[in-house]
Amino acid sequence: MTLSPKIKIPSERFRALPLWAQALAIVVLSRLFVVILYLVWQRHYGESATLFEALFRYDCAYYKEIAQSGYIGESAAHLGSGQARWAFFPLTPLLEGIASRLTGLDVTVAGVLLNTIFLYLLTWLSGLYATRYAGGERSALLVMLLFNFGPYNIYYSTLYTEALFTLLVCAFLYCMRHGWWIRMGLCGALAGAARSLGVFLVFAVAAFCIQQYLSHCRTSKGKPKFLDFVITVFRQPRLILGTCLVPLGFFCYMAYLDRLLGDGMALVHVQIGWSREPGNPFLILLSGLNTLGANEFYFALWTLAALYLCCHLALRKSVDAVPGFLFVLIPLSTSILCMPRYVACSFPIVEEEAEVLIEKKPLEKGFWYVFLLLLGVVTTWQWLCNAPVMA
Amino acid sequence: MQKLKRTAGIFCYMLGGILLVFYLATLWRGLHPSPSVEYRMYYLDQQLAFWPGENGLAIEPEAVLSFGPDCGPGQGANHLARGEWICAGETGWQSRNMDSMLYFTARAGSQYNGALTLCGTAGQTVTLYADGEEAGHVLLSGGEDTLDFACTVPDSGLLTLSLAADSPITILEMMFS
Repeated sequence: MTLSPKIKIPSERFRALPLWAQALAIVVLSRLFVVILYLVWQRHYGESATLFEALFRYDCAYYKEIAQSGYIGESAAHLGSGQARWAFFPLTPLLEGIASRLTGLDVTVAGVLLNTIFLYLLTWLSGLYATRYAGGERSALLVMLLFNFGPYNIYYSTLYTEALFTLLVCAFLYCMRHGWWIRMGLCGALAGAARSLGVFLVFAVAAFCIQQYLSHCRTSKGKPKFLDFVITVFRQPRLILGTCLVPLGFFCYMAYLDRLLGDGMALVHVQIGWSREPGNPFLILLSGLNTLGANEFYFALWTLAALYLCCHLALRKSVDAVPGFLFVLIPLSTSILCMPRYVACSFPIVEEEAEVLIEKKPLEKGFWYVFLLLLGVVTTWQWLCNAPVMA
Repeated sequence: MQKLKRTAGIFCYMLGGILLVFYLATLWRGLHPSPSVEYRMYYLDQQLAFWPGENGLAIEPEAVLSFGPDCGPGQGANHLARGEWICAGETGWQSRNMDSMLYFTARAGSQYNGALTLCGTAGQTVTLYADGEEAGHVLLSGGEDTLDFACTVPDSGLLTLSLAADSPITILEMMFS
């Protein structure tokens, strides 16, 4: 199937642009698309809410409270349920608070604008990553489009932590593959301060080191030995320091919570406020699949799709499979709720989604593009409508 | 140049070591929490039905505790043990077990007299234990009855009241003096 010259020319012109300009164009178009959807929603329901009010939903109130007045302590926990601010990691609301103070804008506005900047950086960096370390230029464009027009892209334009966390994970993996160990460590540390999952990026470094060592053994026709592996790793002081830096953000937050509440693990214990308790992720997935027709079933389908993509990553022998699996299984071990958001906004999964799509036949590809775009529209619409399925 | 590289390497190992010590220390602190009584009972031990708020278990002499469905200041629901009570409409909480607990905090050694308004099946005796020792009892009439009791707060500062009855009882109000 060939494209007509009229369509081909703008497409080629677009591809000729530098990556940063492609990313900018995509982000501007996608956010305009969100604004158009908002206007249609406003007209359809006769709503008077401004754009920023419409984007302010669900947990955004927590992010705003933290950005404005910090964590406070026990007195800020909700009476009865015990839901509390300290369930939300500090980096995103901290930056939103700073942006609000610097610009004089309300947190609801400054936060959305800041996250849009993070979305731009994510789009650009993910394109760069895909070009260098994944499927090349073809998949780079698709990754960038998926982040901006794909399902749950609305989360990148709210006060939520998705944009920053995904950006930091992408930057972490990019630096890791480039051998920029200290920068990798700093990105990991920041990711750990943005969301608890960030701390698990140390396992990606371990997997990467093992993979590099095995590959070195293959080329030098040497036999892999554990002691030799340990010596090889410990001979790289920057790698050691970079790896040690990764948990810093997470542990700093733990130390802060210890001072605030006398419980460094408060970020885990607070989950009881949302009736979440750690369990077997596969049993939770199975129980979700047994609720045909309910929201949980839909969440379980998303989780299955994500696990499929992680397996695909693993089969391609990509170390990104390690954070991919961890980013699915760890949140799943407490609840199936919110899983679509966690997986749709996970860098390794979106990266692999593009890899899988790019290999499809043109007709199949077309179907999936339309399906994912529609899902992006539907999820944005559901967000604006405050639908429980998006919580 | 070689010397500088070597110094930088040593610095990396040292900083890595310091970070590891910090992580271990933080982890140790995390495994040995020292929060408030309310926090420990709700988030860690999961003994409370609801989060009572900061100092939410404290005894306030002469203040009437009403057992409505909400939590907060002056609300008896703050003090209910997890899984042992069910809401009985707007005015009370009904026990699910033969032995249902309520928790309070106060200065160790303080002595209190208390009055508990409750209702249940006529003819049954409800006994109240304060930290395992009988503190008072009442024979129910079928309407609203008052159980008067006296108790001393133990050294831990946590007073555990246990209501023992043969069939479910509903608590309506409570007051310490």
